[in-house]
Amino acid sequence: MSVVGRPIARVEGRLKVTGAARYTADLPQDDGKDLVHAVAVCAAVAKGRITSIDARQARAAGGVLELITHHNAPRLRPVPAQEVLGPAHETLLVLQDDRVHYSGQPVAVVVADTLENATHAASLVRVEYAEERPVATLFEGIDDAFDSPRYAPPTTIGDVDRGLADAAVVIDRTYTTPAQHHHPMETMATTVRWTADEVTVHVSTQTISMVRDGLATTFGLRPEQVRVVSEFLGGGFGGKAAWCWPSVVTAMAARLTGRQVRLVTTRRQMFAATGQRPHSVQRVRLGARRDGVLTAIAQDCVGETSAFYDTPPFYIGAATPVPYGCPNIRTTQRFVKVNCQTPVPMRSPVEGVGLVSVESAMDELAAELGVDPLELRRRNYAERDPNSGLPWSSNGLLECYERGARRFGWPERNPEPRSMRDGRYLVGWGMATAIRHAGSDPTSALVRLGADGRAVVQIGSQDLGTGTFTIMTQVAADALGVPVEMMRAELGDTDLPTGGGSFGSHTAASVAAAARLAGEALRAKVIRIAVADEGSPLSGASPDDVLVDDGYLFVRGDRSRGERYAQILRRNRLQSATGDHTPPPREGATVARWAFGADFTEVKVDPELGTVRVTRHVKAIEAGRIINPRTARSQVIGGVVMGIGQALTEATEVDRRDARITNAGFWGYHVPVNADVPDIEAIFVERDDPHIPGSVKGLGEIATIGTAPAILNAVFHATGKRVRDLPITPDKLL
Amino acid sequence: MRSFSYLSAPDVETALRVIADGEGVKFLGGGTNLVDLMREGIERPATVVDITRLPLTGIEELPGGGVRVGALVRNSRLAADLLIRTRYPVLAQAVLHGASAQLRNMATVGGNLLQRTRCLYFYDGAAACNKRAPGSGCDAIGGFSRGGAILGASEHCVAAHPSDMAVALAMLDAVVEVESVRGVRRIPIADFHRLPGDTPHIETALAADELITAVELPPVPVAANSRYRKVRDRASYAFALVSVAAALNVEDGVVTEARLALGGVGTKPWRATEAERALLGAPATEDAFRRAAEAELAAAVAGPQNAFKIELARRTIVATLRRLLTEGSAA
Repeated sequence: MSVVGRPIARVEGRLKVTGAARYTADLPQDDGKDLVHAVAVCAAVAKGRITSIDARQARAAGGVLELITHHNAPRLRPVPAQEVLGPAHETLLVLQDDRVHYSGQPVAVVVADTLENATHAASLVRVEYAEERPVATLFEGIDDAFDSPRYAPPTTIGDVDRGLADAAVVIDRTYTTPAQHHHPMETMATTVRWTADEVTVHVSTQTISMVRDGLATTFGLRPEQVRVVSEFLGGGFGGKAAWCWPSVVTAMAARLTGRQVRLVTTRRQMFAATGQRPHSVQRVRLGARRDGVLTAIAQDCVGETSAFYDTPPFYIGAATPVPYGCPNIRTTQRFVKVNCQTPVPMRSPVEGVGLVSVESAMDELAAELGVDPLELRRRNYAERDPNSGLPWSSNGLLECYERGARRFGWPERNPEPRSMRDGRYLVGWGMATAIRHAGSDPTSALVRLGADGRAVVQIGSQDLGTGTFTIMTQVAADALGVPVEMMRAELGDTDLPTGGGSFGSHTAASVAAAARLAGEALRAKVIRIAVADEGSPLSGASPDDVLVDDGYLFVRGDRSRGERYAQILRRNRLQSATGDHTPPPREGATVARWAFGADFTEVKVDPELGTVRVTRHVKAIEAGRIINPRTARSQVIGGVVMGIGQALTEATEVDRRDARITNAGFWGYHVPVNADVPDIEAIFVERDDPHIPGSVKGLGEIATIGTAPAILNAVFHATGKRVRDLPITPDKLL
Repeated sequence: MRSFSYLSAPDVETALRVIADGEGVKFLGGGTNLVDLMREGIERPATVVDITRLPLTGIEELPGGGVRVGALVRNSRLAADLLIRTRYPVLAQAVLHGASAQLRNMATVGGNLLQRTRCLYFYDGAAACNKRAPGSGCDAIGGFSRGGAILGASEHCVAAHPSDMAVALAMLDAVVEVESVRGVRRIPIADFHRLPGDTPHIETALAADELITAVELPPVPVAANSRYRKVRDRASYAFALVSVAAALNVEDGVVTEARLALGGVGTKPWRATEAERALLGAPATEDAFRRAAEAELAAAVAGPQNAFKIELARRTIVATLRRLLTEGSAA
């Protein structure tokens, strides 16, 4: 019986709830004696030069083994991130010179025998700066915004000016979104042991291969000299997908001391350790006929990149041409160099930011036209991908609209703002469309079967906590034809077959495809062995006639003629097979592969005091086939919670005078707490997609895309007031 | 590491002797603020005296109708106490609006009175802060000051007082009982917390050698009809943008007694005496509530980022008084 599609419990769940799962900062378990601790000293100014570092007191402090500054740090080789690692990484070579480019940049690293000693010594390091005037946010540098034709080429479809001129109604609005930080529960942790010719790195990362390649490049090693392990992750949300300094300085410290060194960033340091979502300004113009059919979509964005980074991070308007059928679409983005860490992806860097304005503007258009917001979206349903002109590989968006609306009760909505009440609260219902590109990465898997009938599936992927262990197990068990209890998953080690990064909503599709190929290959291999094995009841059967069920192999039509995997393996050697998933090339694609969704949300607003609470949320998602509805539902709940934070509570506040982050801690940066999280319902509209292996489109980002604009729209419906500057804190509704 | 001595005091006398004789001695109650501040390097005690074994954990009814609360009563116990909930609902509600359940299980009444500001610049060791480093200046002024106080600030400090509990105590005219080797003192709550003036680092009237032993709640009949309202950036576990503690007595449509205190807006727990004066004898109407709020807030000073607090405080005062009128103290 197939286990794919069933809501089995997390296979690593018991390890996690009993505390047996070892996260990076828990390592090493056995040989802790060799372990020493590194603590970074971070720049207190955002731009300038280090004029002096007085480390005398720190060096003299108890337990200190090493103090690294730009004077004695190992020399690093540049890591041209775009070319080596993909977009959006910290390319700054830290501790190489006296320049400071952002507040929180490491300027020294102390290594000591205990964490306490290292922390104390780090506090004794006195750094003097010649401060220069920084650019704090894009708002301070907007006059110097520049285009990036290479990384953010404008998109032009049809003739937007004409589309706007022909429109009966034009909406022209500007929205702003704040800087935000990922804040996984697990902060960034790295442990490095450096021997004569090999480096072993335990690190909380979404991409072990990226850390391997980055460290190899910057320290001048061959990639095979670097082993990177990341077994359990306490979240990442994109921050741990980026190349950044904590791994680099830990490796430096391990090399200089010859010891195993651990560095765990503090929560405060997490505001400049793994990058951030940058501020954005998004001007949207929508042109439409009276019946709501769009004649033009124009989006002009300004984003941020770091002061030292000349390859802008990502193009938040890249998906703007996709959700709605419109003959005239134009998107542009300019960038401002800001004294911040290089912006990195944050769930979701493109659609999750760039569609906030589009989906809010659609709501404004609906209000202007007197058309129901859901109906407006239906009228603009795209029969093909407007951006590429290609047909969809599959598209369940209309069913997402329908089932989500029905479940939510959308038809009961009174379109008039401020018309719905619950006692003294204003009630608002809002919705938004969600889309996310469905892709995968080249991924290899190995499945091994032992004489006890137990199997293991190995992929050098990562499990962010989303369920990768579990879905690998399910898919490989099905492909091989064994009960799920007989399959075990291993991941998070560069010694395993190479997997991709756990980002971009690619993981499930990638690991499922590779695990299936490997499982099927091994099944075929064992069948071939069995039919050629005179000791087997299957001897002489045609391989095509051998079926497998629950670990039992038998001849089609005669269930009595067969035996179990374990029996075959006992007579033969341990067997394994590999599977290599190669994603379809983007160039020359004949279909457009996207996941779809629709968010429906209810808010209650205290009209007097401006407080907003999300009271229920329904999210319908079409992401192809769902491998595990239980972990998938959990992922959607997490995504919606993140969307609530994006809409209502989360903002990294920068002091505009000196470009330093002021709310660098959980007392000042408000992630949603339990009391902010309502009943969240996930509906999966399932589709077979012949163009995607296993029909797996990925959930990671579609889980949060759409939530924030739905909340914004609900707040408008509740209050009649349109807030175009996120997050909607009480002061904005007074 | 930065080492310190640790001593667990077996009795009050020992605790008082240690602090009288030593330099840099700090008492440790629940540790929910002190330990954070030590980790941040803001508090650097030479000696930490654990006082959690001291017999200061009682909640006793006093002759005449008051209640005496031991300084080491945990916040969660205070909020759950039947005497407190019936005679001073505003206090129970205020405590429950603070922090999280886990923190309230640890935090003590005495410690809550002494908790220090959450001004972002106070916590940022690289920023100028007259509270943390006297004479260094105040980076909050002109900086990101959304959380800053609008009442009682000076050119040296705009840090808002963070406590919820202390706002209710201010409304109730609580008396703080303190003890040292020199004897016992009773400090009215209004005098306990100080305005920053030009010495923002001196936050309370507590002398360096004194221990808070109890908080005495006088009989306040009107407090039976009292409530606490807190407005914050998320539903729970955030400091107040504005909070209001209020008690009201209305006879024949006229306010015969009113008590009001504000949190999140003052540099100390803010007893709204101007508003109380305006309410007394006024009709119990929306208009009168608004005028009372405006009387109090006439002195408010705000920058561009915290100007909303003036309007929010006005609205929260009116909303709280209105609910007292219609729903009483029901939480």
